Amino acid sequence: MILLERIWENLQQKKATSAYCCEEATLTYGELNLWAGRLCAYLQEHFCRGTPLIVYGHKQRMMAVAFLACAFGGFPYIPVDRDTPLPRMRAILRSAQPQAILAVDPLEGDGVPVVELAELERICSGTERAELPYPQRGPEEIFYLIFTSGSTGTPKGVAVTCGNLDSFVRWMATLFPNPPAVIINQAAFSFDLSIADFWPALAWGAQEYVLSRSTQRDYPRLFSRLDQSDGELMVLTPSFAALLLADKSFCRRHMPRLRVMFFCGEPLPPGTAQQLLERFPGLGIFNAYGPTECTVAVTAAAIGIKEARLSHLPVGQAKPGVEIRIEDSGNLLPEGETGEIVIVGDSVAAGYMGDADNPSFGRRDGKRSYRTGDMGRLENGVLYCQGRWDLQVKIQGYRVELRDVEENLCVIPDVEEAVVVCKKALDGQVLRLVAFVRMRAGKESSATRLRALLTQRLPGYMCPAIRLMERFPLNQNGKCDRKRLEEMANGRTNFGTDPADRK
Amino acid sequence: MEEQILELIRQIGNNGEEIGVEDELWDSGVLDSLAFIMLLDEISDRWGVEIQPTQVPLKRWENVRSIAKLVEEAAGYPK
Repeated sequence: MILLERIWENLQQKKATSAYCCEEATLTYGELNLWAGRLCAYLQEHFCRGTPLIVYGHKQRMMAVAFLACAFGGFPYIPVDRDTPLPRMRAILRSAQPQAILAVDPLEGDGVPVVELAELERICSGTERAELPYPQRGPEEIFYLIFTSGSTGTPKGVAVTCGNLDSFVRWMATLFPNPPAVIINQAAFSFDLSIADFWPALAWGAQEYVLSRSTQRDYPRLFSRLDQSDGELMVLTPSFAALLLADKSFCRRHMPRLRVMFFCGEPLPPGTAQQLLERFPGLGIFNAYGPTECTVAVTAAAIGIKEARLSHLPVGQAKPGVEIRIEDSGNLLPEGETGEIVIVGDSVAAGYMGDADNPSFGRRDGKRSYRTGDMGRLENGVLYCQGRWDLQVKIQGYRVELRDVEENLCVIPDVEEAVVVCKKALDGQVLRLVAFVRMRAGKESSATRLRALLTQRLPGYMCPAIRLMERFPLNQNGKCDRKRLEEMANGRTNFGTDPADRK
Repeated sequence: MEEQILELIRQIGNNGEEIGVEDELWDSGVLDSLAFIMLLDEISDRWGVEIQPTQVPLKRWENVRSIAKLVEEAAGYPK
């Protein structure tokens, strides 16, 4: 695997260079090699190569150590953020059947063996010199499994191979002919946007500079971390960029080395791109697109001053090894017409864990293909995304199936029916989820109580604002009128009483 | 001021309809990054003060009371 071979060289040659910087500490390539080497030896001794291990925590240095130990040891790893509520974690455990959990944060294993932080630290600080072995991974081996929202209410594990990731990192290298020395990470490791910073950083011998969740909500701390970073590349969601832009000091003077921002995960509003180009003259902006099922991203467009004036930003051309097809029920559409985006080629993942026959994955011209469910059109080979045809949305860069939220609301006792819609900004960006909930006859509850119960089941970004309803508006077919509820959530209609609507 | 901020947060926050002036706003999820940006915009529109969040410790965004005090100071209200 080329990626790991590059990293292996850096581990040997850049021993004193900082590889990973989080709030608690900085790890050099030399330290990373020793720690991960010892952990890798331990894993190989105790577990069976090729079967998955969960790496649970947030962005501590031990996370980086565990990812490398798994990668070099031949174990598919499943990154799970500590923000994940217990029932969600249990669903992941049931689906993934991991051999063990490397628990950087405390966790009950529910019968799965847990290697706790103290034990991980003991293993890593051993005295024997065990460096990481030279990588031997085949292209079809699973490199990581990332769990994403599924429409049935249970998360789905996407199996990404070594070949998939090699292809992605090779492409990233062509986008950055002059590789950055410091890369700033925003996304949690359970969100595959982080793959676009973590692995390229190590392949380039650069420093991965992470921002923890608590830092991200504390402006003074966040900006002082950014000021100290010497960051040259930021990998982030447009929502996070909007948060940074809310403060005037987010500008070139404070981050003189920042050269490029790589966006993926949700549509980049042109206004955000314009503001960034004003604050950072000459900044390079990549607007990338791709589902988790196709290894982070498969297209990217460079957005300059000219493009930022467009009303709708392109997401760019297909990366090498990938073909973008626009289809309507399996039939190829001519250029310029809108249809479903189908991705064909070497970025398409091996499939969902435990769901080999999922119809979204298939083959076209002898190559793997994935039907994204995203709508789009091609113009001169450049892709433009145009939303979804189903009930999947992006919120703060995370992918959420609205049905997933609805299913999780409906298992709360006495909830009769729940419909989740989006409150959107004028440019179409999803601001938040709004759930309309109807209780069983004679049962009462409060929005606060329902929300509190839901936060025990779903990560924060999936928890909607809740509005209790006596009855739902119906459409002509007698079904719940989702459109009408959407209008209500967006304050465009006066159906019923709606205290939360804005004037 | 407290009442106005309370009304504002009840409008833009997540499930903020039932909060009081001393209720914590972040861990409870009433404020998140998007609601926070909307809050900054509203403060700037209504009171004409542009608060630079980096100049304000997180603690001062803790609840309605502390935010009201912050806005009063920023707008130059007499104590």
